[in-house]
Amino acid sequence: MSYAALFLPGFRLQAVLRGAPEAHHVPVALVDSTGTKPRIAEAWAPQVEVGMTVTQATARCPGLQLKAPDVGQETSAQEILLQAAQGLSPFVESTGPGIATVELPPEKHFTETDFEERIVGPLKRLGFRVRVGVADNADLALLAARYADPVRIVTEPESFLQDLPTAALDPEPDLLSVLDGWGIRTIGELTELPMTKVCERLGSRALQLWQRARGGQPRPLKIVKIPEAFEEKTDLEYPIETLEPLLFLLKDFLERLSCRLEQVYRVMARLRLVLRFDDGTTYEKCFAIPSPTRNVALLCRMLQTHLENFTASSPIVGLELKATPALPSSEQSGLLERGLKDPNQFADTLARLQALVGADRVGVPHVEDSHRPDAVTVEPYVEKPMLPTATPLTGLPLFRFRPPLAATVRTEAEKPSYIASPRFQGRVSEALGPWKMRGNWWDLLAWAREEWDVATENGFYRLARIGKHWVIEGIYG
Amino acid sequence: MAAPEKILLLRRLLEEKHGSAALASSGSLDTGLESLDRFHLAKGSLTEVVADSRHPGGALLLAGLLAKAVPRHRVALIDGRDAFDPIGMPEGTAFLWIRCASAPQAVKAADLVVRDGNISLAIMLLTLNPASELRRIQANIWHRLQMLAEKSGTAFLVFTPSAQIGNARMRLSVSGHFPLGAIESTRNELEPRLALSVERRRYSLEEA
Repeated sequence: MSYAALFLPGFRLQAVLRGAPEAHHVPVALVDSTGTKPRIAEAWAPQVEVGMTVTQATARCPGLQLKAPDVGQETSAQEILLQAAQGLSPFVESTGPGIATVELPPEKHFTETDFEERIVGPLKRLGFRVRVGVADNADLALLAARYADPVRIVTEPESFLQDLPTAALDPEPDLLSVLDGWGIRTIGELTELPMTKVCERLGSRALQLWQRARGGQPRPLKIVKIPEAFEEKTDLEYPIETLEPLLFLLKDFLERLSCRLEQVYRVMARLRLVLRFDDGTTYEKCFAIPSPTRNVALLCRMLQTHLENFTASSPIVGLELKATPALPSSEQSGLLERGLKDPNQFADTLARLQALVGADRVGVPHVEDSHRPDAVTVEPYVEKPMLPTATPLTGLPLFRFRPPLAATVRTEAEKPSYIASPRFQGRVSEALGPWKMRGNWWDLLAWAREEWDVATENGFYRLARIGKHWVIEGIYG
Repeated sequence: MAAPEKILLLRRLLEEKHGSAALASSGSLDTGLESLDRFHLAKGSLTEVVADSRHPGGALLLAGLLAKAVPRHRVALIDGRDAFDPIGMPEGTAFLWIRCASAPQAVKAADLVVRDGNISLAIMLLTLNPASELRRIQANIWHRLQMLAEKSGTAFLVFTPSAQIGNARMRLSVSGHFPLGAIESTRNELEPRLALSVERRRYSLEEA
C-alpha cells in the first residue's frame, strides 16, 4: 500500500493570492488580526518571521505587501485540493488545512511524471503551488511532501530521513530544545541513539518521536466525502462598471472550473451566475447547457451573449459562478436520427438571434385557433414530426405587409377600381370579393372587415376595408 | 486552346502550387421539391432566386419548398420584412422562423444562421424589402455569406425581387402566369405551372 500527500506550503497565503499570480514574486505576508496586536501569520519575505508584529515586519522588509486572511477562499482552496486528490483515488483524507492524503490504488504504479501531469500542473493552472510526497505510510508521505520539489517518492525511508532536521518531525518545543542541547540536529543522529535510553530520559513523547523518525507507522485514513461543489467567487476590491473586465473575470472562473472538472472526469451541465451590486441587490441567472461540456470558449460565448443584453443600475462588487457537474455524454446517435451536430452552438445561435430581433420573433411558426387574419405567433424552437395533410392546400400563398399598408382605394360599382399607396398606384384590372368577416364580437377584441383580391399590373394584392379605411394586406406570390 | 483544356491546365498549376488541396465537391441538397431539385441546389453555396412580384411565383415556390424540405432537413427562414404567412402551411411544419424588420437586420441574422453549422437549408426572404435597403447590401457582404456557407456546408437560398447578388453560385428566376382565379386553385394544380429557369450558373473547378 502506498500513500500520497498533497501539501500546499503557506496555505492561507496561497488561498488569498490565488487570483494574483504576480504577487508570488514580491514580498508578501498574511496578517492575523485576531490577537491584541496584528501579527504575521504567514510570510514569503526575507527576514520576516511568523509572530512578528506588522511594524517589525515592515521595518525589516520595506516593500512588504500585507494581506488579510479570507476564510471563504481557504475553504474553496481546500475543496480544490481534495477534488484534485480525488483524481488519484476515491480514498482521500482532509488531513489538515492545505494537506490532503490519498490512499493510492495498489494495482496502479504512479511515476513522478504522473503526479506532475495530474496534480502539480492542473493545480498550478488554478493558481496553487503544491508539493507531493509518496511513501508507504501517510505520515512519511506528508514528510516527503514538505521537502519535495515538487514531487518526492520515498522508496528508501532511512536514506530519505537521514539528513532531515529533527524539526521536520514537528516535536514539541521543549523536546526539540533538549535534543538541540544534546547536539542532535538531524533525524539520522536521533535514530543512532538507543531507543530505550531516549525514552527513559524523555518519556513517552520521545517514543512517538522515535517512531516517526524511523518512518512512522501505518494508520487508517479518515476518508472524506468530497463536496461536489464547483464554485468560484470573489469580492472585488474595485467595483466593475463595464462588460469587458467582467468577462475577463468570468473567463478566468470558467478556466478554473473546467480544470477542476477535468480532474474528476466531469463536464458542466448547468451554470449559475450571481452578480452582487454596490446597492446591495443581486442578480442571479441559471444557464442550462444543452450538451454538457467543459469548452471554455463556448461557455464564455454563452455568458457574453446574455450579458451583452443585460444592464444594471449599480456597479458590480462581487460575483459567483457555480457549475453543476455531470458525466460526459456517451450516447451515440442513431444512423437515421437527425440530431444536432453541435447542440451548444445551436443554443448560442438561438440566443443571439433572440437578442438581435427579440425573443418573440424567433421560433417555430404557430397559427392560433382563430379566424382573425394574421393570427400567428412563434413558439420556442422544438423539432417535431410533421403531420400529413388531410386536405390539399389551396390558393396562392400571400406575402404579408406587417403592418398592413394604408391605401386609398377608388371604387366603381362597389368594386375597387384604383389603388393609391406608397408601394403601388394604378388601375385594378380584376377584383374578386367581397369576403365579409367578423369575429370576437363578444369581447373587446371584436373585429370586422371586408376583403378583396385584386389584379393589377404590379401583381395580385389582397385589400381589406376596415370601417371606412382601406389597407393592402399583402401580395400574392 | 479550348476552354476545358485551359481549365485543366489551371487546375494542374493550382495543384502544383498549393499541393493536393482539393476543392471538395459539397454535393447537392435534396429538398424534395422536384422543380427545384432538378437544378441541383448545392450545399455550401449561395443560390439566388429572383421572384418578380408582377409575375407571382416566389411565395408559391417558398411554400412548396418548406412543405417538402422541412421533414427532411433542418430549415431556417430569415424573413427580411416579416412577410411570410404560415397560414396555409401543413400542420406541424416546424422550421426556425426569424422575423426581421429590415434587410440589415436580416443580413446579421443570416450571418448567425449560416455560420451555425447545424442548419442544412437557410432561406433568406427579401422580396418585400425596399430596393433602397437592398442596394445598401454591398457585394463583400454577400461574398462573406458565401464563404460562411462554404465553411458550414449550409445550402443558402436568397429570394430577391430583382437580381442583386453578383457572386451567387446560381441564379434562378421564378415566375408564374396565373389568372386571379388561381387564388382558389389547389397547390397541386398551381405548382406545375411555376416556371423556374437558370439565369446564371458558376461552376466549380471539379464540375468544369
